[in-house]
Amino acid sequence: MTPIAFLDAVFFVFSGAALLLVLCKMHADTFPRLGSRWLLVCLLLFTLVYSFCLFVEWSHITAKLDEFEDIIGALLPMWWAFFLYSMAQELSNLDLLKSEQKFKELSDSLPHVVFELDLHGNITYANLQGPVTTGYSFKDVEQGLNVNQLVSPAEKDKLSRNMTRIVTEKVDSHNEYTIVRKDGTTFPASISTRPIIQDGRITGFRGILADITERIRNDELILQSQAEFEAIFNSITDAVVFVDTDRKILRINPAFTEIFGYDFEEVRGKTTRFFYADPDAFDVQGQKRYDVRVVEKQPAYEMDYRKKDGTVFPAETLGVQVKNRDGEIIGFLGIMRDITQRKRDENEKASLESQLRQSHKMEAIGTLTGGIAHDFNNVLAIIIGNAELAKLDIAEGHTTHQHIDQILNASNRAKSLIKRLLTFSRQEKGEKESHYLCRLLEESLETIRSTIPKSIRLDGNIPAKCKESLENCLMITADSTQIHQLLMNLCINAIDAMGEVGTLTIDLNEVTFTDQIPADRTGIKPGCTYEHLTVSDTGHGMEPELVDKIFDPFFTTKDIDKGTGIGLSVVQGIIKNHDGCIFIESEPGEGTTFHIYFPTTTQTKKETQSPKEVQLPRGSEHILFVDDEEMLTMVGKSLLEKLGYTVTIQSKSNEALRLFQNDPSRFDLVITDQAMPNIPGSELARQMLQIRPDIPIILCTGYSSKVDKRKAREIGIREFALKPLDNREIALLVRKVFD
Amino acid sequence: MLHANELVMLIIGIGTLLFILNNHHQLKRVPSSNILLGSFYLLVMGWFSTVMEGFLLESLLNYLEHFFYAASSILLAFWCWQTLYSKRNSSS
Repeated sequence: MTPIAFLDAVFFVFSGAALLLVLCKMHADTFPRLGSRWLLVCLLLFTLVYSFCLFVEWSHITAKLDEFEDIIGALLPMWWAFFLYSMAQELSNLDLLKSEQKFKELSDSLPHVVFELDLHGNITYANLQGPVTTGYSFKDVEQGLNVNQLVSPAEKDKLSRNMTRIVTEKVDSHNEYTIVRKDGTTFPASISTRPIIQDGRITGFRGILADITERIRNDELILQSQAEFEAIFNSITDAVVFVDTDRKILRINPAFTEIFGYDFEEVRGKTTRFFYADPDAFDVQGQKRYDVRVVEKQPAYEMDYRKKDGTVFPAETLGVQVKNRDGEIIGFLGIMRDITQRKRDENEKASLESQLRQSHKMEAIGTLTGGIAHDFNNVLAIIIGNAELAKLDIAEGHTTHQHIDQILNASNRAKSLIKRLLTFSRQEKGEKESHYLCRLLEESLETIRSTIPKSIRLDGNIPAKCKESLENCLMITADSTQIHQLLMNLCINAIDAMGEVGTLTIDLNEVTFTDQIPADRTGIKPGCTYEHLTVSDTGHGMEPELVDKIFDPFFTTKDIDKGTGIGLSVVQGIIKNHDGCIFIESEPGEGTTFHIYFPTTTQTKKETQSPKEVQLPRGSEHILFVDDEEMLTMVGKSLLEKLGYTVTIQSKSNEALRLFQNDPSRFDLVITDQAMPNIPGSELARQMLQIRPDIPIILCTGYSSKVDKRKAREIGIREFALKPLDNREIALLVRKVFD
Repeated sequence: MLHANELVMLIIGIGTLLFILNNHHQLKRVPSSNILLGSFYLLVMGWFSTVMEGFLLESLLNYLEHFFYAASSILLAFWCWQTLYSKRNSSS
């Protein structure tokens, strides 16, 4: 065998093997498919025959097959062409099948109806969702279902117009229709349609129908939710600002405009730096709260903001992160509540608490003062009574007489001191009556001198004519207690303004305004005469804007623990209560002067005559004198007996009552102390009056918070007197009761 | 000596070759396409050799012709086995 014959034999064997392999798998469901596989068989068969012819030729077996060989050989490449072309087609068909399958699966997996129509509107294709959504089966589609049957009668024209438009303009169409199901129920649907164009010609329509019932419901819910949000957002009384992550303003609510004074257009896109009172706070808060890296929830905080008009106000602020559905921070919401009023209320509360504490202190001082006053008045009553008794026994002009006068003067000063103490501690209720303001001022100056630091100089200037005689002075109708308080408050204020060193000047003079009243003296009546009181200090003075506020209750420039802010408002209240006026002159660094005008009165005070000018009245009635101070009963007995009366004394109130019960008609008058063990004077009087309603009773007290003149009258007591009483006062009082 | 049938074989073969080249991208997706197309290319080379042997190197080119035929049949048989019997290709 020649080498060529061998090669041909190999050619033949492998061709045959290939043919056998293919024939054995003719019905297998593998590539290539049957059509191509038959072509492959033909190709292999021709190859096998050709190789056989070659082998026969080159083995020199016979030459008869040469011509056949030439024919077969010439056809061999043709079979290759057929086979390869067939496989290329098969692959294209496979692609198409795969593509169709993919489209079908995709279409069937959609929650919407995918459909195709012919030019007449007949449905030629629908995915699996079609029957589910419309209720029409595929059989209905096969039997002929037109899209007009699906659309509500009212919208058929609209559908027709749209289909015409798609055909004429070759454009897509998106419309909403009311679809009628097979069972007659309807639902809203969105239909997107586009023309099917083949070879430049429209052959039908293809589109998607989506049931939008849920979407419409959601849209309505969203609209409702949006409306609710808008209502809430717009009705919130706190300023709300929505900013992006760069803190640029995206939205504000009406309260923001109302509080800050900015319209939205003025602030849109701006950072919030402009409304911070301290611009640095913008950066601080940015790092602390308004940063996308800050994850923890931030508590509310207080911050000062600046309004458009420049006014700074405190606000309680809450910064809230705004996140999208993925949890990413897309901005911040700032809610600012103006707490100016709350702050004011807090300050007011602190002031009221301070005032209450002060009040409690004063009450305690008052109670203490009252207790001391009672005992001290009893002591003074004994001293004064005995001194006056002694004075009666000694001839006038005697040296001892002068000494006794000294005792009496000192005692009267002590009496005055007690009265001032009671006035200061507000235990003694004042009534408006005619007073010489110069006298009230003198009394106050004594108290003020003892309270101000020695380093502060006090100049009290009372008109010389008043010093000479009170008759030269005009009077005012005033509550002496309130006048004292007014002076004290003004002086305390002046002292606080001066600090350690300065001069406090208090001047008093009379002034009559003609018709030309200075413009700044509002409230002054022309033609009236006023007592003009000025209180000046050399302190730090005030700015004009402060001057306007100093009479506001609880306004103070002092530290919280140094002033309540009510002193000057009390002053103003007192002045108004007295129909007066107050004016302030103040310059920073130049000190302050308060000008106070009190209208004068022509009513004169009833001045009692001096003891020297009157003869003590006498009598012969029987008097029961009751006082737990035995010494005082002794003084009273001595005095009254000197005046001709018969006096029975008793230091125990229950014994006195028993004495009275035994023989009520024995006594013509009862003089009793108030503060006594066992039975107080007022109760003793009540019981005696029950026994004998016409018995005149005089109630005396050194000081009592339980009973006053009005209460005594209500009980039926004829006269109420405050100790210590001197002889003249006792004599006049007794005689007044009898007469 | 040039035979007419050999020339026809070559011409049709080249035409088929052009078809392959034109649809190469599509035919590349045929399983084990390199083997199948390789088999065809060897056949074309055989046809080319048999035409050329009429002009030069007759003996050598004749040997080569038959060698290419044998090699082509081997690859074709291998492709049939690979395509129809290999699990990997069956699944595709």
